[in-house]
Amino acid sequence: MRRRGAVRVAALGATALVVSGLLAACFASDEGGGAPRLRGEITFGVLAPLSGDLAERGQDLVDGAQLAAAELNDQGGVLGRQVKVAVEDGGCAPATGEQGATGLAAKKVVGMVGGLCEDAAVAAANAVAAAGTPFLVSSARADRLIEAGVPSVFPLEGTVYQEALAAVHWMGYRSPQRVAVLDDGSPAAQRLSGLVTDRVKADGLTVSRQSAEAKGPDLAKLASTVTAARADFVYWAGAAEPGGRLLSALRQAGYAGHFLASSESDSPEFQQAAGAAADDAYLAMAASPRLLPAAADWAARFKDRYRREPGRDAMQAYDALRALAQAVRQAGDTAPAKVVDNLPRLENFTTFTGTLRFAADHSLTYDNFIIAQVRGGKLILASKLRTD
Amino acid sequence: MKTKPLVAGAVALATAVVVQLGGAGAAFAAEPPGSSPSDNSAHGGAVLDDIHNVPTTAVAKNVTFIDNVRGVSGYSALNFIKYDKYGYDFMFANGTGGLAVWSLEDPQHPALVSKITAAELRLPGDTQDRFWEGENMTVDPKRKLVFLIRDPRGFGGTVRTGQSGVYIVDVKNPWKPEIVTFHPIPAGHTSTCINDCKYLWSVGPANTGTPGHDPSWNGVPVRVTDIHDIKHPYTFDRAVDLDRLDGVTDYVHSVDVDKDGVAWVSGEGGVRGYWTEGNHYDPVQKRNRVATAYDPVPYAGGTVTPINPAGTAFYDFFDHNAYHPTEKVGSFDKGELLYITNENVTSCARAGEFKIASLKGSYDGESWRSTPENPFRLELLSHWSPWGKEGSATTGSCSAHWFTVNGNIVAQGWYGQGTRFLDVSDPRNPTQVGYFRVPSGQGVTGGSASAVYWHNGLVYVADYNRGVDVLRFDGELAGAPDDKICWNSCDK
Repeated sequence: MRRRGAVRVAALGATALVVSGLLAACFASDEGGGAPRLRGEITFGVLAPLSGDLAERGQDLVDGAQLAAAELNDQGGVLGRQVKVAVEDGGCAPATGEQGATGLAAKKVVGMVGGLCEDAAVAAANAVAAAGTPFLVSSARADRLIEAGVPSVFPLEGTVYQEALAAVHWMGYRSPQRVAVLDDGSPAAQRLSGLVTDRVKADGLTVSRQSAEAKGPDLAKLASTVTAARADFVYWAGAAEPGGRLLSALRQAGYAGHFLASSESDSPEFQQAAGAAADDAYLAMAASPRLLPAAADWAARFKDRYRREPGRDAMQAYDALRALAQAVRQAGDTAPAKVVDNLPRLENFTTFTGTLRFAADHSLTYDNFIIAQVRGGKLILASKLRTD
Repeated sequence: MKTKPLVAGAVALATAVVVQLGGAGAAFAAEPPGSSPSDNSAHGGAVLDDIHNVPTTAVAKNVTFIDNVRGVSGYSALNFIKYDKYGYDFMFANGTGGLAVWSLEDPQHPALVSKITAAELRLPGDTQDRFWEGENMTVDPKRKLVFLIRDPRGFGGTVRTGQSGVYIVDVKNPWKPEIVTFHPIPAGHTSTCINDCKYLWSVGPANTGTPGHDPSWNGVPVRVTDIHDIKHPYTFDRAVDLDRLDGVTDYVHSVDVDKDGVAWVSGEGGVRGYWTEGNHYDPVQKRNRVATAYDPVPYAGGTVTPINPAGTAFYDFFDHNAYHPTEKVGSFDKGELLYITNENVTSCARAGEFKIASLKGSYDGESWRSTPENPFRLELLSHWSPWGKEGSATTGSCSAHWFTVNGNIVAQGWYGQGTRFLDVSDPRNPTQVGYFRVPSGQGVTGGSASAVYWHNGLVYVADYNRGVDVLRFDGELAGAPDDKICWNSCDK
């Protein structure tokens, strides 16, 4: 709990860098005051899709990394050197991901952040494996990156399993007796609902599970499952629109219990489909700056600089670049092996959700899934699900 | 009572010398190349040097001293894990020096096989190499895990500034224990495995002021950590066993699971039992519901009126740890009794005592509704102290501390009063049937017994000063001997 205070402090702009120890870096400063004089450069690579459907998110990612670099320089750089950012378009396909990573390697970057699409990120991770380049994958789902087992790669997103844990832990706070786990029949949703079901069963709670037909879910049938089971907690894994319609159908049928949807429902389509029934529903979703009070000051600084609100890709890339810089500082060196060695043991390093730590398999020890709740048509933070 | 030879098993040991124990583990081959610390194929390893302090000054009755081992320091607690692949047990101890591991291939003479020093447990910001405190040490015998609970006062910290939490240690290969992770928890004095070690209940310490705690709390209650997956532990931001002292949330010191699976939570304000699995009637919510580790169902319990008229407000109601015998004892109903340690660190004449209470009248949520104006108290059947009894000292630290029970014999640590064996066959009249106390002397480290464990016919004492003493109780074992000794989360 004591680190919560640190997280709050971390939102105070420049103070955040003090909390993370960045100010302690050795740097030369002008005797007459003003900005510190930096000697030499240190370049971090940023990999993001800069064209196509995800170009807007890609730019958000790049902007977050650029803001981190600017703030690091304001605080004295890293190892007394000015932080530079080199950007490559990693696209969303394996080929573009590999090409982007190779391009950054050619620019002699000390490490990389970014990676938004899973396919591109995995290809990029494999491309830098031989060189051992540290790569903090900021936005792509972690599962396949962890399976790839590249020693220098550290995903900053949670896994499907961790999303299931977040759902189960939130259920724990609501003390349900009978849980209905429903999914839209897609392979991803079925995997998630299966993981949730297994864990709920392990705690001895009564649980019923139902998968819909993948094409055109029969919502009436799903709702009848809830009624028959006399469930007091419904978990929905699947797409946003059918999830919203299911919730609406449940409320119309008189269901008064809790409703928790998976991260796929983090979309306006969910509330649009649910209508008034959306109110009080919960979503287990990846943390984003719009829901984190601790990120408010940072978001304001971002808006000052870029004249728009930051997205979560920006926040993730901001934290990734800071973490990479912290590892370099702790290593006192830019040698890849030394930086990689320090990433799992960052000292007192916090993000806007809490302490950043990696498990032995490089998954996040403490993931960034949070619980949001619909209130009056808006999402609010119900819980960060963190006590570290 | 006949006095038995004191150091029969120790005659071959030199006094306070470093001995290389070559017997047990040394015969095994070294770990095969390429095996990791978690590799179950590893079998055997070297035996480390250890110190054996023979207590030539000891006063004892019905107890034979067999051996003493030092490991890394003195200890607050021990635990044991059976390794089927080796065919024998290993003993784990934690103390100020860290973790020590002994092979019990020869149960009478533990062989030190590995250790994790306090220096290796340091976290960034720590100022001392001093682990604290790890009382009531808990282990997962199936997954071969040891949990070292860290008090905020460890490593140079204070209650307000220190970092509490748990070190999860993989001991699949007991010759090479490996720290899996340190998980911060806003509690840390003792911890106990719950529901087959899928959850951890961590408790204490006393009044903290620790950031994040409710300022109305006088101490830290139970924090629940999901450890299904030790790579991703999760501590609930909701505490258990609130309002325990007549409506006030206070210090929980210990959790001890009985043979029926009820978790007995001891601390300031008494001892209260909770179901953590299964469907049960909840006397507080007045309905049947499923009990979980994070939302347990109250069962029974409470505290007794103070036994020391000159006590203090805190110690009067400080029930340090407890044991709930599920069997019938004497004329009392099955499961009616509660054995309790009241810790009170004061003069020997008034130090904390061993108590026996009846749970009758507490099964309908009475303790959870207790208030200062309308307090609920259990009936106190008896209490016992070594003060004035045979084999006792008159000075030093003399409070009751941790105990285990075999049949109707309670084996209990009493700090400087050593180890005491009490026959509780008549719960209204506990009677001392053996003792072992080690005063300081030339070449003899004086004892301060923290916890006493019946284990496979022997008695192992975790001593804050001496390390571990191995004893044999030579008196008559009253009652039916237990196949499984229960303390913390039961001997498995």
